[in-house]
Amino acid sequence: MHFIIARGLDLELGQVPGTGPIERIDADHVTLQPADYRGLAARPLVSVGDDVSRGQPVLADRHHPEVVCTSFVSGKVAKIERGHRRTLARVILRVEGDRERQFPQRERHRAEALPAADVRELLLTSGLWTSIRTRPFERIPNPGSTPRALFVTAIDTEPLAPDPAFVLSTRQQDFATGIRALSVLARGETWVCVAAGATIDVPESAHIRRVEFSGPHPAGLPGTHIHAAGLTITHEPDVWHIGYQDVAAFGELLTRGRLAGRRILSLAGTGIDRPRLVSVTPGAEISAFGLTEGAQNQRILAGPVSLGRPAGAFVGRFDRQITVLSTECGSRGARGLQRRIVQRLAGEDAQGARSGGMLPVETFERVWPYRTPPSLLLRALLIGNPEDAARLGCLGLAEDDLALLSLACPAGIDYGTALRRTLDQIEVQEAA
Amino acid sequence: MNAWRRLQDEAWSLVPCLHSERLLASFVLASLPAALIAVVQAEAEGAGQAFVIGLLQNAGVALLTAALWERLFASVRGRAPDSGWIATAWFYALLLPPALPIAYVAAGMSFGAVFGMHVFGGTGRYVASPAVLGALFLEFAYPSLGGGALSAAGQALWPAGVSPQSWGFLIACFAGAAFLIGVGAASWRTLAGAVLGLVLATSPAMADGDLLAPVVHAAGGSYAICWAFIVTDPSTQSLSRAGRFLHGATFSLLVVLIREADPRHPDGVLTAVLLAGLLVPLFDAMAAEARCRRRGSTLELR
Repeated sequence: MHFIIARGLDLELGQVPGTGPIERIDADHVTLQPADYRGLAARPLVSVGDDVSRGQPVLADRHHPEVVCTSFVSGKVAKIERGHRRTLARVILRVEGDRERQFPQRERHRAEALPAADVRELLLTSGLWTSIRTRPFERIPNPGSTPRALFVTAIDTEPLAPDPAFVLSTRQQDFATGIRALSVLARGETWVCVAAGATIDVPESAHIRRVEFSGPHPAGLPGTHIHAAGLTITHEPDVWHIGYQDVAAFGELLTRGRLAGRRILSLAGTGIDRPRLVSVTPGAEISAFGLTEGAQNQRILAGPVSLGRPAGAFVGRFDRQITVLSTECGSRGARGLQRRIVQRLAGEDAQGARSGGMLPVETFERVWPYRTPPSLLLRALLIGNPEDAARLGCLGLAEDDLALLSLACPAGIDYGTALRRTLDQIEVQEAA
Repeated sequence: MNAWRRLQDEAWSLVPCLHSERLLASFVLASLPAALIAVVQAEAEGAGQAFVIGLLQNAGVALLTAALWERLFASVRGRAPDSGWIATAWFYALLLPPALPIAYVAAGMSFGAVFGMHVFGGTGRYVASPAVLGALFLEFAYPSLGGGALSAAGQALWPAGVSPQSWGFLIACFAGAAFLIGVGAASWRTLAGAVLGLVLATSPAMADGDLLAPVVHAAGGSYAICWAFIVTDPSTQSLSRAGRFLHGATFSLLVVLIREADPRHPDGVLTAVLLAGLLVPLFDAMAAEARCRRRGSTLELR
């Protein structure tokens, strides 16, 4: 099956790190932050000074103690930071030693035929359960729930993102094993979404479908895939999605009994001389990248570029890229809308505090791949009307789906925040 | 389509439309040729100097008044200054007959700025153009001013016929609208809807052999200027594609209706802008309803 996304925008932000050698980056400190895992009411399972081995649970959910986040490194708990109202902000681990927790090893054909209960159990104990997110609400699924469909995102259309086909080229078998094993979770089909013509082997079967996407940017977002599949989104968070590297990690866990502690990120942008792919632990400190932090005319973004989130001290759990933009040459060569957005991302075109309301210009329609008029949905989100917003389709969306709209907004409104506020309201109403 | 996209990209490079300030400034920029043609027109009638002075006086007073309210509301609310006040004041001045007494200009602008804009929360939140509201206020509050006797930027009232100068003014407004579409500031749907509405509304006259009827309406009074720059105001745009067509068409239908039905209001454009603007939320609600009925609450790819 092949979908062509008609509307959207591909941003050109410099040289894309192609298929070069992957640089290994070792950080001294690594963090686990509950903020990365939406829906997790985190409770630390360790205290300062404890030894932690790779694969050992560090955080657990208060309401579902079986949902845990495990450490990606072997080390010692250096610090536990508390945030607003003493909620857990982050657990910082100092990397040392090479202890790792052993999980049962299985032969490949056994692993691929594992019953659903065992898959669920292994996902939960290994902490990989937290790499799954649901639509609606984009949160960690409840351990007792069963998905109607599972989407594996093996395409990335964010500017400068690593190419999934290249990242998976050495891990094809693990990826296929992961897909086969995970597919037993879903009541319905497992959709593996890849770029058109990508050299990714997908073990197609009655329950596993390979779907190709082509077109400009939102073509690679799980939200786009879920809507392309034509599923009706209800208030029930029963459509799940998971990223390709986590699927490969699960395949590795099944067959080799060890938790993969690294992910491949791209390190690129107009402010970087040598764009490259790096292999790094999720949650590693940004300073390990050796970027001249705070250098003039530079802006470091973490995660999807279109969200334009400034990098904090640590790489986020789900970040697939670190982008360094130079505010000086951010827009060279580009023109028009493209140029304006690049300037805005690079902070070249920064505006002060803005107070205006939404101006529903037709630019929104140019970067929005859906039939529903975007401004109708955005207005419902801005005025905080959850009923209208849900009727207009906000349930299937997450922040990244609205990122291009925020970048193209003349009034500079962040629609992702408005969406999250509305989704939270809907979730609270559901719970009540 | 690609050529059109490329052309639009070029236009986007000219005017940085990702700032609401500059987006609204492009409206002022687009209206300058029309204002210039109006001056030329007045010059041809031998009143050029008086017209220029009158227009500048109106614009100066309007800008000062709008800036005053702007500062006041911004400081009381502790917000950044609103981005739309210059465009509002400029179009308000264009809609007035030149050389009104200063006090009246200030009173109208105050009404427009406060009750048209700031009570709603400023740019992007108001429902009807504050410039139109201010001008309408003067027309209703002080009928003796002759708001109906001479209208926007010195244009002759409907039905004065079409003179060579008014062709010039029409073309200047049209060029301004084309520029706004190009830079992504105005919606072509609204503008096209208005043209269709005008043709539809004047079709009885055209059937009688008066083929120029739509042009006569367009050239009369403040129709052209409102069509190009006021109805397309991004703040009062409809949120849906169908709503934009309907908004434009309603505007034109109302103009023709008011002009034909009520000879005491030979312009009627300002009232039409206001009424059409008030109907926009209804169009939006209808579009949202139709969308949900057709497709349920799940988004669908194009």
